[in-house]
Amino acid sequence: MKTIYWRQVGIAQFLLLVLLLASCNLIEYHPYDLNSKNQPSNLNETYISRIEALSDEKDTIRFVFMGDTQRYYDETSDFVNSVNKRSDIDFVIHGGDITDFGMSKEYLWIHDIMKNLKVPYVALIGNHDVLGHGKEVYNKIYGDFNFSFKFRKTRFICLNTNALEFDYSTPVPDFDYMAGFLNDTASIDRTVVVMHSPPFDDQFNNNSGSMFNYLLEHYNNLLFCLHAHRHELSVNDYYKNGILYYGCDDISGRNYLLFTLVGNSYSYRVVNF
Amino acid sequence: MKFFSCIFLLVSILCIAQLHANPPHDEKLTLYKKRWDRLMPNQSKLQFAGSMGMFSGGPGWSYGKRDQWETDLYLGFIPEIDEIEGHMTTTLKQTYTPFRFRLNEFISVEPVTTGIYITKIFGEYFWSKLPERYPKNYYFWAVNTRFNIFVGQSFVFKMGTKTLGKELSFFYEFNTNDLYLISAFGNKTIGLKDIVGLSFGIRYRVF
Repeated sequence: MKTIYWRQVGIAQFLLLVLLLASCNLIEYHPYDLNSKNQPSNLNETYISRIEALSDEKDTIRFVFMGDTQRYYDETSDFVNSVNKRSDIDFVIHGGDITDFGMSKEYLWIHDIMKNLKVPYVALIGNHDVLGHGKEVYNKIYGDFNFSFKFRKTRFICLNTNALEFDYSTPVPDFDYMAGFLNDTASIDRTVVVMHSPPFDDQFNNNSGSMFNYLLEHYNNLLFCLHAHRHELSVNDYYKNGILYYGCDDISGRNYLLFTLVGNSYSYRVVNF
Repeated sequence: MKFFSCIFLLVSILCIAQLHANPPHDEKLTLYKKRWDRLMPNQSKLQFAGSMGMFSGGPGWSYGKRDQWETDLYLGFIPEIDEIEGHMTTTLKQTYTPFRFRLNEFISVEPVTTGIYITKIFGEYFWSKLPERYPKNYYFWAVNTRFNIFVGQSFVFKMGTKTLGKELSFFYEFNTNDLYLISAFGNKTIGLKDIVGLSFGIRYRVF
C-alpha cells in the first residue's frame, strides 16, 4: 500500500530529525556568532595553571613556538603528532592567527586538534582572529588579549600587537599592562616577550614603537622576543639594541621553533616535521 | 542623476505609448492586472537558524509551470548572546524544487529542495569593502556577506477552502557557506559534518 509506505518513510524521517536535533551543534545563527554551548572557555588560564603547576627548581626550560594555523588543519594535526612524539617539551606557545576568517567554528576546529597535545599550550590573538566577532570569541575561548605566566623563574609576557585591527580605538600595545612588569616582584630572573605582529609591520602601531622598545629594554633580563604573522623564519634586531626578535613560519611550512633556556643563556633550532 | 532622468523619461514615453495602443479597455486592464499579480509576493517564509539569523522571515515569489522556482527575501535577527551584541541580517534566497509527491488529498512531500542564498549581516565589524585603514588586498573576502548552498525537504499541507491561503509547508534544510567550504577544501581533518548546519522553516503560500 503506497500510503502506508509513505507513512513509514515519514516516521523514519521524523526520528532522523529528532536525532539531528539531539546532536544539536548543527543549529547556527551565523558563522560569526558565538555558540555558547559545548565550547571551551578561558583556555589560557586553564593551561597556564597547568604550566605553573609544573614549575620547579630545574634550570632548563624547553618550549615550542609556532603560529598561523589558519586554514592548515591537516598540518596542525601533524604538528601535534610531531610534538607528542617528544618527551622533553614543557609547553607550546601558539603565536596567533589561530583562525583565517575569525569564525567561531575555526577556533573550535583548531582547539579540537591542539587539545590533543600532551603538554599545555597557550594561544595569542592574531589579526585574523579579530575579524567579525572574532575578538569576542577569542575572549570567551582563550581569555584576555594580554596575558603572562611564570615558569621556572622566567616571565613570559604575551601581548596583543594587532593595532590595525582595533583601529587605534583601544590601546594596542597596552602600555599600562606592559608597565606592570617593570618592577616584577615575583622571583623572576628572565623575561621573554611574545607577540603576533612584530614592530615595523603594517599591523603594529609604529607610532608607539619607540615607547614599546623603551619598556622592553627595562624589563628584567629580557632574553628575546617572539612573533608569528610574517609566515617566514626570521631573526631581527629591529631597534639595533641587541634585543632579537625571532619569527616563526606558518604551520603549512611544516616546521616550528624549539627553544631551550638554561639559566641566562638560550639556544633554538628549527624542527621540521 | 542625468542617467536616471533619461531612463525615467524613456519609461514614461513607453507607458504612454502603451496606453495609446490598440487593445480594447477591458483587455488592457486584464493584462495590467496580470502583470501586477506577477509582481505581488504569493508566499511568505519564516526560518529558524541556517546561518541567516535566529529567526528570519519575509515575502517571496513562486513561479514556473509547477511552482518549482522560489525567490524569497528575508529580514532576520541574531539576539544578544553572552554579551555579544545582536545583529540584523538580510537574505536573498533562490530555491528549486524539481518535483513533489502527493500522499493524499491534503498532504504532499517535496523530497528534494535545493538552492543558494546570500546573507548579509549588519554591524560595525562587518564590512563589505575593506576599510580604508588597511593596505590594499589585506583581506580578500567581505566579512559581512556569506554565500550559502542548501539541500532539504518539505512537507506540504493543503489548506481548506474556508481558510485564507493555498497551502502551508514545513521544511528543513542542511546548509553550508563559502568560507566553510574553503576551510574544508584540501583538509582531511575537516569533514562534511563539521561544516554543515541545520535549519527549519514554515512556508505559507497564499495563492
